[in-house]
Amino acid sequence: MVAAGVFLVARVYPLMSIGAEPGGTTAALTVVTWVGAATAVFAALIAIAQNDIKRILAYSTVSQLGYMMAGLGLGGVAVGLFHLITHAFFKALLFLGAGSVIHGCHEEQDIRRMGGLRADMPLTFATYAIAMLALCGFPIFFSGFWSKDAILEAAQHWSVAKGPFYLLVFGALLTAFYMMRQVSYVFLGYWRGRKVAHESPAVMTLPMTVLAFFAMALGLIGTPAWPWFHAFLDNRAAVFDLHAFAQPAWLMLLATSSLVVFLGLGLGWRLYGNKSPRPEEPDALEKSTPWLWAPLHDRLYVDEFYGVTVVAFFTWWARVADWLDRRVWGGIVAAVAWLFGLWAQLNRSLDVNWVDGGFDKTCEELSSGGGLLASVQSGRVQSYLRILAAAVVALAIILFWSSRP
Amino acid sequence: MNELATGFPILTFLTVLPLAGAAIALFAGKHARGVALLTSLACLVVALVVWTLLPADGSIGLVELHPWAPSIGIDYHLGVDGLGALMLVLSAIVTLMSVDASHRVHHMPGLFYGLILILESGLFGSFTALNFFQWFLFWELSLIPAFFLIKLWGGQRRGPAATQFFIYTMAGSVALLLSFLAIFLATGSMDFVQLAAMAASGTLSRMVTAHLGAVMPWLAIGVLAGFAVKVPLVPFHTWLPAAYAEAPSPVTMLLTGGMSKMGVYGLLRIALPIFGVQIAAMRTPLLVLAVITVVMGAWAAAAQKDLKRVFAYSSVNHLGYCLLGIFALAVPVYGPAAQASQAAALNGVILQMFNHGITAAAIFWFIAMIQFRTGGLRGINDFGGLRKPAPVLAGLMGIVLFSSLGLPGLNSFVSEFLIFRGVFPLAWVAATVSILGLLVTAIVILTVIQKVFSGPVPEHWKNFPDLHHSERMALAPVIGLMFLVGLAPRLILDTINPTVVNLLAHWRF
Repeated sequence: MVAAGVFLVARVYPLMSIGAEPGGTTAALTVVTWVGAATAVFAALIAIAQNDIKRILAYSTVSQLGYMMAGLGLGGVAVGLFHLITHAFFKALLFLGAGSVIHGCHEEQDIRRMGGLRADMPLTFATYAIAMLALCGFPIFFSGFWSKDAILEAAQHWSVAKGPFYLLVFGALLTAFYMMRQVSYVFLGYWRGRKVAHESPAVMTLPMTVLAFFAMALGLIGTPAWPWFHAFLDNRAAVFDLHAFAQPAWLMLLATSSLVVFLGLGLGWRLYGNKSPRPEEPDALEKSTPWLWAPLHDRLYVDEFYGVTVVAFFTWWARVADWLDRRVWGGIVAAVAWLFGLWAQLNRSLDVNWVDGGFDKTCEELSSGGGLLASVQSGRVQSYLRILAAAVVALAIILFWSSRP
Repeated sequence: MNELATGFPILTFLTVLPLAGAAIALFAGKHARGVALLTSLACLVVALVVWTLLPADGSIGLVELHPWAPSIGIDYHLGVDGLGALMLVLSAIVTLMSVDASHRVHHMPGLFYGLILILESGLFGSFTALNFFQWFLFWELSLIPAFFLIKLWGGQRRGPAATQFFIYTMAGSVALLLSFLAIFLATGSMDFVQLAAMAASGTLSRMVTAHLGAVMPWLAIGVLAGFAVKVPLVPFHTWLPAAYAEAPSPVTMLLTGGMSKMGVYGLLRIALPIFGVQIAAMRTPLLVLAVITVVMGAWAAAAQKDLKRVFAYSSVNHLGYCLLGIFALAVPVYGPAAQASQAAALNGVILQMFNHGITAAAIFWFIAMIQFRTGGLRGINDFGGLRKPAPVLAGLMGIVLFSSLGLPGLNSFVSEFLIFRGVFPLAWVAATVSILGLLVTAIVILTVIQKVFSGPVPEHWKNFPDLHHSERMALAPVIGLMFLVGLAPRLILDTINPTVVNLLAHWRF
């Protein structure tokens, strides 16, 4: 599945190489190359300090994908895809082998609790060793050598910079080193697990044998003497020419990569070979260079980096979105509702105090005035007569007064 | 025009059918559910018949036009094209799902099912009306049953949620109504088809300006406000999470599956044809709002702890894609490539309406089932590991959730892909930022799956009951439909595309 990304780059290679002069390169391909070479070293460094058998292989895969990318950027589709195909076989074999080991060790995945399995699981050991040597690029007999060599050759002749070449060579050294470490922990030394390990059934070992064959033989289709794969992609016939092996440049490269592989394997052997440390014991590298071990063991803090950047941003921004909703937009709606309420209150008080109030005042005065008058109309004839008499007297006085000359 | 259409008023029949069912259901007591099931099933059949009777050229068919109150511009005018007919089918399916999902309603079932059927009638009416008056009547009619359904059968804080929902939508409707009164004042017409033709020829704008001054942009804003609340467009969406969360889940299915589509439909049937030029002039701010709807909707969903609120915000996000497509295509285009993008976006928008309706309704259906099994629990952290005791529930809900996520092979992928295919050439910045919405939605939905279905099973959920037979049978056709539309979208697009071409040919931006 992970090869899909490499395949995609190979598919869009014509787009990426637009504008490249013969022998030259483009900005896109330069980026692919540098990213690939950096990935190859970065992941290989992490793989050195892992203790889970499958985790080591996982980081190794990342590293090898870096090689494929660099191969695409440096040498084109054929170089990148050749490594993709050889890697597919030996890495599938490594994972099957790891599965067989885990099964044989009763679901144990920690390489510190294994050891000495070469005797208990001989077939798994043999095929695993083949795949491991193929991954390391062990010269001549293993497919990984040919495909990795093609990448290194392209890197050596790259016109832009020599950086990728050195990175990839260093990566090859690391690959040999961490694979030697893993094999030493798992298959060499003596058994450190709890229950006794057992070899897996044929249903597991048989596919491994088939893959082991291809992990060795597949290199044949991409040697400099008979570059059938390259020719196949270019849609032309491959020419068989043994003289390619006699080229001094190629011999030089053969020597270099052999040296690197042996150096890596040798270093690994020196630190881990047949040592069988107890599971609780610190790793050999941890003892010698703790400052190097710690960051590598913690996977160079990539997960932590994402944790404090991408993941932290995601959750923070989700809270912002929620806050915006509840406080800002919801707040505006609440404010509008509150203003409506306020306006309604204002209207109510205007109604009660002014409109209703004025009306009520008039009514009150009317009714109190009416009460006053009503008290006069008591129905007592004597008081009526008394008022009438007083009124007649008053009227007489007024008439008398006003008729005076 | 079709013979059946002239002979038999099938659209009127379709709109009246649920009303008749509602009248029976009201007095049917404990048989109300049966009545509602039969009625909604019959409605689905009639809606499918309508779908098959559409004119092949994508124009409006099955027209019923009778003078009603001509002196004030009111006619009884019905008709559907591919867009309207698809919405009829969707409404019928979602109502059927909702009725099926509400078999736990024991409180006043007659009234409950009656209101649901009235709501269905409102949906049918508003998806077929071609005269503003009549359309507005159904638009408001659907609001009333929805209000009571939330108010009477809702959750703990149903009172404020129902009120907010009602008032918010009403406020939008008032703006809409004012705009159309102004249009009527200037033109003397309330007919969508006539007004669209006048807008395309430019006479509408001239008449409005002559009568009322330069108010066209304001009228467009009024109309947009009505639809922006309904869809909803951020920041007019705050009623939605509360309403979706507090409504009983079957009603939430109708709210998200049916009623939210009324807003998008209104944008396509009313706003773009009549106010195309004005909307094109406001395109950039509208696109910004659409992008915010997509992105912030998804992120707000990520912050929710209540399953119903998660998917309420997820609905905001998914309908945001519709708004994105609509606003992106509202631009004058030249040349076949740009026209193809416009058509792709519009096809995508219409299909997304359908897909979101089915998928969102199905999600709330599953939430209803989970709530029933747990006495109403719906917190995202209340569960865990449910796939062990209830593998079928987990599997089927997983399919529906992946449909919502936009997994290829399921329905939503097709429509979201079409929208982005269309929007990218027309508004690439908006499309690029909106892609974030897809990513965040994926994270949200995977988080839900992880927290509800995987991990260790709490002791008290060890015996979580799986789906029983009748629930599986009811869900099967819906999930089958998701695969069908995902794998053979032509079943719908072949009928939609002529309408899309026809609409785009008549719109003027």
